[in-house]
Amino acid sequence: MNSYVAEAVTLDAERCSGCCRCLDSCPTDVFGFDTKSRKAYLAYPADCSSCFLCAPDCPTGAITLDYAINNPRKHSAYDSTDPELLTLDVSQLAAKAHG
Amino acid sequence: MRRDRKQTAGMMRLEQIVANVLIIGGGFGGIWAALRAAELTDKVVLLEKAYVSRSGASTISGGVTTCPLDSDDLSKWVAEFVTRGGYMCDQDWTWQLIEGQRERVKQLSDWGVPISRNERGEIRRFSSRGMIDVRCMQYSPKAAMEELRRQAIARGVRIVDRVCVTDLLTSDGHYPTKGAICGAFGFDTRSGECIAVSAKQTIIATGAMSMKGQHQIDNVVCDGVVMAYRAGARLVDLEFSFGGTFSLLMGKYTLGSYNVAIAHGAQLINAKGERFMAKYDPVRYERSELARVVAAFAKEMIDGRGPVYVDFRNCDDSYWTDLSVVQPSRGPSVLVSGLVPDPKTSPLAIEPTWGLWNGGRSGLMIDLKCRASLPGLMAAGVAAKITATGTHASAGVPTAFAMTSGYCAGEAAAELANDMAEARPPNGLLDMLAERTRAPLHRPVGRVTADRLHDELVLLESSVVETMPLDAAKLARMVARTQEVTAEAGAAGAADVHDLVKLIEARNIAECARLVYQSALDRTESREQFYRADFPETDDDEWFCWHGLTRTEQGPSFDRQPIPFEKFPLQPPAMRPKHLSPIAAIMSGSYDPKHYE
Repeated sequence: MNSYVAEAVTLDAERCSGCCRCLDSCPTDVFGFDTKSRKAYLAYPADCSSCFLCAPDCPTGAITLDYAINNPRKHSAYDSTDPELLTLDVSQLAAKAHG
Repeated sequence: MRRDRKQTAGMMRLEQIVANVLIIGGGFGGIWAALRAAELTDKVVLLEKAYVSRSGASTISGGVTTCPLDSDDLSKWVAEFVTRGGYMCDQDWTWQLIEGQRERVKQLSDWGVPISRNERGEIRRFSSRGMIDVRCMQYSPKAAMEELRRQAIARGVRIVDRVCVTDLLTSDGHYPTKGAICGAFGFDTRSGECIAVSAKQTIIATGAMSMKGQHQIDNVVCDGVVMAYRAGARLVDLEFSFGGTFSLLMGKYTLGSYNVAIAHGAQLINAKGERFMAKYDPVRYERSELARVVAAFAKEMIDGRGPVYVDFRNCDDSYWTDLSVVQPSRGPSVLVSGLVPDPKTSPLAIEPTWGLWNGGRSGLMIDLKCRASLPGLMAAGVAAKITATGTHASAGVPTAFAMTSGYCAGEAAAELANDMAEARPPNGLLDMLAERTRAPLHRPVGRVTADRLHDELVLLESSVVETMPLDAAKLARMVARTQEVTAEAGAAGAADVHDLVKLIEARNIAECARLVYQSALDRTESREQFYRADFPETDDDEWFCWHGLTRTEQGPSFDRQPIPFEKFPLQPPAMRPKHLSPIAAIMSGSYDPKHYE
């Protein structure tokens, strides 16, 4: 995807058993296999689209994904850096309704 | 040594496969087609760009599909689909879809695919979004895909994963062809080895049209539709490709399924705590036609009543149970991750996508046997237009259609292939395609990269508030930009085979988007999903039709095919005079629900 974006997927080489299931799991072909270390590696991590298919397939829990959509190609109507804006304080609503 | 992912030498090789039936794409449409074809013929080959059961919209869909059972009076379902869809459908296909889906559901259940059930073990059904009588169910699409892969292989289907198909093969070597489709050409996305499959029947099942970066299915773009168009197949209703769904929470998290959430009691409220859909649909509220809910969202934002929140406080217990039992095909939901405020007490800001997302409202025109307009070519799933439903389809229809059109396409393709001689591409065609496909690997990678082209393409779409209203000037600019991107993609180099896939996708998206925008320019009215601010009225005299688009040697050619409702049992009421379309009425603040039943 974009080289200037932090990548959503991480792979812990210590925990990787080299089973290669992630090479099948990824629709955008992010993973490669290192024949010397016998472990998977992130060949194209910038192409991760956070689809979450790989992590549950990894039998050793070596893959983790960021829940946040790390993707400037998605246009939000909101300023997602403003935490106040993004949840509604229902107690305030109730107070208004009763006030 | 790492296996060299940068190699290109493999592209000098060409593997040739002979098939009776070739299927391109391995989601629900493709795998059901393969499975059924293999019951009736041999040499069934399926090419998939990723890995069947870990690819496409089917696998990571929200897990809602239409669920008719033996005890249902399906005539009511057909009536609801036909009337809600504005009668703009083929009612024979509506019956075929619902009756077929009843069998697909039985099969999934028999295979043990996880389906949400009540305490008595019966399938738990709920009203499908947009409908009242039509019911749907929640199930695990990932588990379904895994089982379908096993079943297809058990029936002898040859699945070739990681193949990027670039072109259909034509019997005369011309594009558009005056002959027939006789297979397809592509390459292995890792080794680069070229693969040509000659086939008596070829089924396009490549799924939705989408930009990259919008729907977490970034390998699904529009490949099959575009390659069929280039070969001369007729497409329909491309302007209805604009669509979207509520998916983004708090600007950065994926919700999961909006359709499931609202079916279980979730509501949309604005910053004042008002359930604003009451103004538009006092019966179905946020379960109304999706385009109208999206338009209502945009209206709330424009009028300063945003953000819009999804309020889960009224969701029933089964919603929370299913989140951890049936739904987590994509890992555990962010709603139960602890990363967002507790959704059981705190409404969360939500927003829809809006852009290229056809969902079966447009695509290859097919008949009841799923035959496209060219001999030897068929289509299944949402690469095809779902003529079973009209201007509006309920939640669960695209997956239901994928399964049943796949089954029907596989059956018809096998029966046709069994009576045909072996198909052979003309001399020289494969060499020409191989050379053309490889060409970007021999060009230097300059400033214009595949990634940059995808960045440019998504700029054609913006947030829903800006993207939803279309007009002639805006569409003309969009067409011009797609033409520039197409030219840039045609001259760009690819660093390796992986990059080549993305470059081909950029070229395909640019061409597909151009066709969508040109179709939108041609349609001088607004209708349900489709909204032109400069032509805000629905014009039945001119546009009660299927809007065809075919590539000719002279360029794109549009046609208007009357919907033959006179041969169907359900007849539309008298045509209404021109009137504001529902989205136009919402935007102008004049929407009255009783005029838009």
